[in-house]
Amino acid sequence: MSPIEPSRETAADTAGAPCPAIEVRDLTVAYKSGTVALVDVSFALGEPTICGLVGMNGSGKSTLFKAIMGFLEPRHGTVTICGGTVVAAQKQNIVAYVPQAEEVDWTFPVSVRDVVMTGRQGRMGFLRIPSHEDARIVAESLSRVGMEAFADRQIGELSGGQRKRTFLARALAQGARILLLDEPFAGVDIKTEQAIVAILRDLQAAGHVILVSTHNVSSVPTFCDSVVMINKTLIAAGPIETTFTPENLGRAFGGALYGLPIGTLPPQPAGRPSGPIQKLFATVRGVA
Amino acid sequence: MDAAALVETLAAPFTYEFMRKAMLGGGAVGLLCGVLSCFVTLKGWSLLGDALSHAVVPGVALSALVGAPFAVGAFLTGLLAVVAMGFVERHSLLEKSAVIGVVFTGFFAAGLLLVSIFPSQVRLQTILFGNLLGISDADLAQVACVGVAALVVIGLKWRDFLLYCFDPIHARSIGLETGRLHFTLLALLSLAAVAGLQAVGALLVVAMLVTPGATALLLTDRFGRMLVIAPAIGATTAVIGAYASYFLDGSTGGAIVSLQTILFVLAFFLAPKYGVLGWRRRLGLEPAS
Amino acid sequence: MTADPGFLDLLLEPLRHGFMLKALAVGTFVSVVCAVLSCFVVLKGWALVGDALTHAVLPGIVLAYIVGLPMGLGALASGVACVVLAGAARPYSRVKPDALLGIAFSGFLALGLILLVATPSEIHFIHVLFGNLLGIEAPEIVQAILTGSVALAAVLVMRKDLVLVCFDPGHARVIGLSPGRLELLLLVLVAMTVVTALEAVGVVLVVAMLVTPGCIGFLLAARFSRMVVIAVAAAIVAAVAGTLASFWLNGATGASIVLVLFLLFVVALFASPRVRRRESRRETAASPLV
Repeated sequence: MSPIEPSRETAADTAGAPCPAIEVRDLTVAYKSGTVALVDVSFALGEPTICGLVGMNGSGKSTLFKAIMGFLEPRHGTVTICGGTVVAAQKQNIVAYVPQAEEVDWTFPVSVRDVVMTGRQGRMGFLRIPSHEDARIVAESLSRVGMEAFADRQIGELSGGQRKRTFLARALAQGARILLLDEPFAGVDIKTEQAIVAILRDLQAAGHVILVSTHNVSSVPTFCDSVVMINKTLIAAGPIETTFTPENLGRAFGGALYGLPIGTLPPQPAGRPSGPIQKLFATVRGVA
Repeated sequence: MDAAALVETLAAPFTYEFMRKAMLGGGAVGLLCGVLSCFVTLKGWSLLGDALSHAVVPGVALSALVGAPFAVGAFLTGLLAVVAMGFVERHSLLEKSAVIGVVFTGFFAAGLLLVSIFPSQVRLQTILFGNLLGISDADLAQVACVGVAALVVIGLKWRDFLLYCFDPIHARSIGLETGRLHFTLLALLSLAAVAGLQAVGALLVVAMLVTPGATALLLTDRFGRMLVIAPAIGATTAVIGAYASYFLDGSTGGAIVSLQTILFVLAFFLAPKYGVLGWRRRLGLEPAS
Repeated sequence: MTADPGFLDLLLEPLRHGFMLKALAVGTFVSVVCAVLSCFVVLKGWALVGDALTHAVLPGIVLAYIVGLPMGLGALASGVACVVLAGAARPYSRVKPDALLGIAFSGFLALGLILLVATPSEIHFIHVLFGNLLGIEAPEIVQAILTGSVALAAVLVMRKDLVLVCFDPGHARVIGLSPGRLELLLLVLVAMTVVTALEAVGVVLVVAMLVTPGCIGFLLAARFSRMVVIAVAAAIVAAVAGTLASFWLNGATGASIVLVLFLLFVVALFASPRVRRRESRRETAASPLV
C-alpha cells in the first residue's frame, strides 16, 4: 500500500492547502448483515490531482464514495477531509458530488439553472433566497461548461452529454475544493468526454482535488495523473506511471484482465443470485 | 322570471351559514393538501399519503374518547405510524411498500375497532367520508391552525424541501439535515391528512394529496409554478365540490374528488406540453421520459 | 376449582352460536386464500396495487347492482379496470406510476360513492366497506367459496410461472413466458381474492389480508414454500382469534382480525432471524463475492 502522499499533518486550516484534502486511514466498512464492503483502505490525496478510482463492479467504489461523503459509519478507521470531519466538510461545502445519470429523476420540474443554483444552496441564508452573487456564479458556471444556451430547459429535455455538463456546472457553482464524480463518462459522446476532461484539467490547475470512479480502465491513463485501485481492499494507490501496472490491474480485477489487452472492458462477474429474495427463490430456479 | 329563479337557486347555498363554512373549510383544506401534493407526487409517496390518512384514525377516535382536540391525537398517531414504518424498514428486509401496507392497516384497524366498541363518541361516517357540511366552529378553527402552521413552515423552507426531494445526496453533501427535512415533510403530510380527513374522509384524502400535484406537474416545468397551480386546483375543486354537494344531496368528498379526477384527466390529454394530444404535436422534440 | 368451568364456559360460549361457527369457517377459508396470494403481492411489491384494487371495486358493485349482475363480477371488473387503466397511462405521462394509481383508484372510489348516494339501493353500504362476517348468509358464502377456490386452484396450477414472474420477469421472458400476461393473471387472481374477502373483512381492510401474512412469512422463512405455509398459518390464527375477540369485545370483526394479524407481524419482526439493516440487501445484491 503506497499512499500517494504519506503526509500526516492535521492542520485544521481548510482554506490553505497544507493538510491532505482527503485522507482515508484504515477504513473498514461492514454492513450489519456481516457483509464486509471495504477492509483497511488507506490513502491520501493532497496535491491537486485528477485521480481515477478503479475497480470492478462491487469492488467497493460506491461504498468508498459513500464513506467519503459521510453516508456510512465506518467500522474502523477514519475519513478526514481537509483535516476535519466529514460533517464539518459538508457544512463548509468542501465536497461536491456529481451523480450517475440513473440517480437523477429527469422528469422533475426543474430547469438547468435551478439545478445549478442548488449548488449554491448550502451557502444561502435561512430562507435560501439566491443573491445577485449566486446568480452571477451560476451564470459563470453554466458558461464554463457551455450550457448557457440551455439554462431554461427542463432537465429531461437534455441529451446525455448535456445532462452531465449540468451537474458538473452545479459542482463548479458549489465552489467545492474536492469533486467526486461517479462514472462521468458512461453514455456520453466523445466530444462531451473531451470537454469534461478539459474542465477537470482546468479545475486541477486551479487547485482542486478530483476523484473519478470508473470501471472503464482504458480511459484512465488518458486523463488521470494518479490512481486508486480497489477490490474490497486497497490494491494500489499512487502516481499513474508507477501504479497503473499490469500486475496491479490483474490484482484489482482478480485476474479478469490477464491475457486481454488493456482497454477491454472487464467482464461482469456472473455472480449467483445472492440477495435475500434471490435466496428465497434459489430453489425455484434450481441454482442452489 | 326564470332567470331570477335560477339565480336564486344558484345563490341558495350562500344563504346558509353551514354552506359558507363548508366552502371556507373545504377551500382551506384543498389549499393545504394541494401544496403537500406537489411533494407527494414528485417523491412517489402516494401510498404513504394514503397510509397516513388511514393511520390518523385511531388518534381521532382516542381524542374523541378523552375529549381532546381531534387534530392533536390524529397528528400524534400519524407521527407514531411514521416512526413505526421507519423502524420496521430499518430492521427488516421487507420492501418499503409492504412495510407501509402492514403498518397503516394495523393502525387503521385499531382505530376502527375503537370506533366500533365505543360507537357513541365518534361517527364512523365522519371518519370515512368527512363531514364538511356539518363542520363545527371548533373543527374549523383546528383546520385553520393546522393549515396556517403547515403553510408557514413550507413557505419558509420550500427550497430545502425541493432540494431534498430532487437530490437528497446533494442536499446532504452540502450540509442540509436531510433526516430532519424528511421527518418534517412527513409531519406536514400528517397534518394535511388530518385536515383532509375533515373535508373528504380517510378513504379519499389520498386524492387530495396526489391529484392536484400530478395535474400541476402536467401543466408546468417549474416547481415554483407547481406550488401555485396545485393549491389553486385543490382549493377551487374543494369549494366547488362543497357547493355542488348542496344540490347533489350527499357525498361532498365524492364531489370534490371527482372534480379533481376530471381535471387530471383533462390535463392528461390536453396539457399543452405534456398532455397525450399535446405530446403528439411535439413529436419533433424529445418527449418527456 | 369453581373458576375453571366459568372460564371454560366463557371460552366456549361463542362456539355455541351457529353464526359464530359459520363465521369462523368462512373467515378461515378467506384467510387462507388471502394469505397465499399475499405472498405474491409482497414479493412483487404490489402493496399499492392491492390498496388500489380494494378501493376501486365500489363503482363496479353499484353498477352491477343497477344492471342486476352478481356484485362480485362488477367488483372484479372495476378493480381490474382501474389498475389496468393506470398501467396503460404510464407510457404517455411524466406522472409517476404510483401517483397514477393513486389518482385512478381514488377517482373510482369517488365515482362509486356518488353512484351509491344517487342510486336508491339495498346495498349494505357498511357491509361492503367493513364486511359482515358474523351475519354472512348462504349466497355470499357460495360466492366467496367459488371465487376463492378458483383463485386458489389457479395459483396452484400456475405457481411455478407466477413465482418466476415475481422473482425474475426477464428470465421468464427468456424462457418463453409472457410476463405481461402472467402479471395480468396475477392481478385478476388478486382481484378475485378481494371479492372473496369482501364479505368477511370489507374493502377497507382487505389490503391488510393481502399484505401482512406475506410479510410475516417473508420475515420468518427463507424458502418460498415455507413462506406460504407460515403466511397461511398466521392468517388462520388471526381469523380465529380475531373473530372470537370481536365476539367478546363486541367490536368490528374485520378490524379485530386485522389487528391480530398486525400483532403477529410485530411478534414475527422481533423473532425474525433475518433482522438486518436495509443496506445489506443492496450491498449483497451488488456484490459478486457473497
